[in-house]
Amino acid sequence: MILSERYNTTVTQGDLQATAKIPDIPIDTAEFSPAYWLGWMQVEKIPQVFNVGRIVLTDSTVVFETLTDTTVNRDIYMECSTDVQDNAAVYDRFDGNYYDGTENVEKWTCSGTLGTNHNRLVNELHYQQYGFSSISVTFCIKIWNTNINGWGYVTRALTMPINDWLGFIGGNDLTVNFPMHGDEDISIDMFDSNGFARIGDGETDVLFISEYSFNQLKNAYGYPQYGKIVMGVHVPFVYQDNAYDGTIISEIGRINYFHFNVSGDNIVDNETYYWMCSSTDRTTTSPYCNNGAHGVFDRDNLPNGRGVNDRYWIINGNVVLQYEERYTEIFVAFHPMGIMHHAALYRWEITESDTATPGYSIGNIYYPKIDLATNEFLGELITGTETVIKPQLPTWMKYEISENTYTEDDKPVPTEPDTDSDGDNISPHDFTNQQVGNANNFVTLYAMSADNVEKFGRMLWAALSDPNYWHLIGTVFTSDFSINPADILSYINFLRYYPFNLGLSGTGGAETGIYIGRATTPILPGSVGNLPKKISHNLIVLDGGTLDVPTLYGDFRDYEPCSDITLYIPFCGSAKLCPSEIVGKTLTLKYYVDLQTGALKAITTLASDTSYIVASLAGTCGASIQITSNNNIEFLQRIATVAAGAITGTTGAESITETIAAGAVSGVGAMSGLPSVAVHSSGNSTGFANLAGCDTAYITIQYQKYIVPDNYGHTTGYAVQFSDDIKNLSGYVLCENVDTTGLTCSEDERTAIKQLLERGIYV
Amino acid sequence: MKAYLCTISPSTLLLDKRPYYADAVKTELEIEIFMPCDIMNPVLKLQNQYATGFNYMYVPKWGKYYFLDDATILNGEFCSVPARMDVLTSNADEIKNLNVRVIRYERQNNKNLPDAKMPKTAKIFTRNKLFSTTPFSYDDTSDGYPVMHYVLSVVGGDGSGGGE
Repeated sequence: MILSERYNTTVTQGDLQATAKIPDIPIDTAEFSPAYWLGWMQVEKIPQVFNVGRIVLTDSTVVFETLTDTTVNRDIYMECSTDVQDNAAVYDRFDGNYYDGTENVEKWTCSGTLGTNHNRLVNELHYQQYGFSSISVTFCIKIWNTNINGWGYVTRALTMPINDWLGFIGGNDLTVNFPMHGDEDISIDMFDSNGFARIGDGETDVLFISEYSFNQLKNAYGYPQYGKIVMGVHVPFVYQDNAYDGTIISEIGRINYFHFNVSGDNIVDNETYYWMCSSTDRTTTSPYCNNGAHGVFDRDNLPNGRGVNDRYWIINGNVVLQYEERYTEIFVAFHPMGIMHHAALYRWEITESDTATPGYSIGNIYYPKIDLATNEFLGELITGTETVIKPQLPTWMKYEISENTYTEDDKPVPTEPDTDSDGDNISPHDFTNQQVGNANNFVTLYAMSADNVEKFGRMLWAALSDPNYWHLIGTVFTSDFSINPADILSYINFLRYYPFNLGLSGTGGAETGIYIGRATTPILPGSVGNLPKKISHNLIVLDGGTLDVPTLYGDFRDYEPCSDITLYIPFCGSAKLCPSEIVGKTLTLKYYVDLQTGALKAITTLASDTSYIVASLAGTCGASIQITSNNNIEFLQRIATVAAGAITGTTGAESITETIAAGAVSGVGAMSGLPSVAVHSSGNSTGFANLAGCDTAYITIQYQKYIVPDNYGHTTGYAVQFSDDIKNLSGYVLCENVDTTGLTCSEDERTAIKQLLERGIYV
Repeated sequence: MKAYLCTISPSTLLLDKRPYYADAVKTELEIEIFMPCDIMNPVLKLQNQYATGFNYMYVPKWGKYYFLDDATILNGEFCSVPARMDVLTSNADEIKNLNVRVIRYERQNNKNLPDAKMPKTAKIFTRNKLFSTTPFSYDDTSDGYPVMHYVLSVVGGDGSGGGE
């Protein structure tokens, strides 16, 4: 059977408006297996009870009765098992008619003899079926689960006859109030495949329920099975031929989400329980509600983020709440919450652990939000958001209220800068693969050991009788040279010491003697295996390693102006770095050394992006050794001055010291009165003195020390910036620029309220 | 005018004290108000026996809750008790529906927002951290590599003899 989609007129109840809507659907598809749906509601902006009706199971009928009044018509479709499909009907209590869905009318009826029913209240949905007695029927309520993107469902299998009503769908949100018969094995439960209840969630005003399944909950003295979340509404109901007025607890009301698996009393302090019993003709064993079958259980002032564990029993046909440790039985019903909201979510989740997170050990509540513009569900979960395509709801009765004319586009939200756009890379030129070598033999560089240098000097200036005297060792030069060593020296540009091993840096080729000028015979200042090596590249690149810039606090205190970072490079000096640029990241350092001049450039980049230069410092790392007094000294590089460091230590190590800053002030601000660098230096140094100091690059980070008392959050609160309804908050709250629109009290009261909110209150 | 007086203990800054009021032992009194009466800050005329023992009041006629301050004995029979409207609790339901911008909160902490109220001491942490390695070494020992710290620069010297 195909159910046509139709729309009803707008239904108004208080300030709630809803419109029934039924989409097309084939009803006998596997998607809805067990396809014994009952109906669902989609309601937005729920400030009041919105009754739809209920399902009532009678002796021989299950009656599905809509809520009707003189101005409201609703489409309700109900389906039962295919075996009895032809015998199903929807009973309209008001006109006493049974409607057949094959007709172009609201309800759906079936043939056969009408059975008795116990439905008597205006807002009842009755599912009536004929000839039940030998048939097992399953009723199903299903809820769209935005978490698993599927249906959570509730089913109930009944075997007729049943002496009482099955339940109803009612309320402005989804509600199921099921079974209250003393002998019923009924539980109220909604599970997904993981065993978690899924109903709804998020800051949405739309609660969408399509199916509601339930396990068996034993009677009073049995052990309840693990029911999950129940969301309900206190609506007018009927029990055993008596009608009782429904009650809206407050203008907004509250929702109770109950977890059926309880161990002990986890009720926290400052909870308030309201009991309202609306039945006067039921006996009860409850000491708290002597008025009858159904009471209202309300919880208020529950702090956010804490789950609640309760146990629900069926006692004398009533769903009750029992606290195991106290063995207190409280009759329970439900009543609606004005706005399906995080408030409901948090209220539902109460544990005794302050660190419990929403959904902990109980399950999450999910309910999708409807985008009225696109009619798509916008599910918002506890832990995130997801958008889901509107599920197929062909078997569900849907109520749509008047469209919300406010859209997100109306908000004057300032434009945010595109922080994801890339700027220009400041990349160091990669000299690694570009070796600048000697050109045209103007100058030749030789890497020498200390022994080479010593021998070379001896060869030049040893005593005439010293066998090392070059002349005596038979070194042959071209006729361009006289035997005067000074002539040889005129061909020497410089001798320089570098604080790194050229033998490791890969700059030297095969060992060789020293060729000077046009000489074809080398000077051999050493024996084979210990001879100088000709240097082929003027520029060498040295690895300065990496450094993981640590965080101390893990928050704003790690960044300027609360922290200060200085980079020290050997032979180059120091430079201030930007903490926000490098904290938590890894730095990479490379040294570029010109062996011809002794110049050094140190380039620090981010390891994750070596095209990002963090710092570039220049200095000199060669120390000239004077070997001649003539003008060849002009080849010697002027030695730059560097700060003399006093820090030594193992490479990669850290040290932490504490100092007292003069003139430090409280509060966040610039680190005034503090030394800019923990290592102080003054004066210049040249030559070998320049090589003194720390030979490993390092950073110095200075942090201001803070004290955070244990009760800081409760007495002062932490810095935040968000907007929310106060009812969703708990604990210390300080607001800014409070808009008191919506308060109906006097202006003096509004002013006082605004002042208090902007000074800080406790919710 | 009927009023219910009681003693409650929560902070005056607690938004909704109705649960505490509900649990408290209340004394119902017919109270007199000194006229002219300020609804925000009425002054009660009570018998001296009620001068102490109460710090909170609910006036059903007005639907408002009040803090009760210290009484002043007027004579041998009566005292005056100033009251201040608890605007938070009296309007709790509406206040809870307000959408506000929160800048300080007990249950959340935006770690990227500077917290000007966080107490800062005069002490400074200084942390030094070295890079993982350095190419600079003055050590003349080596693991099999020649140790060469010196660079000699000479004119010509390619060994070819040049223009010879």
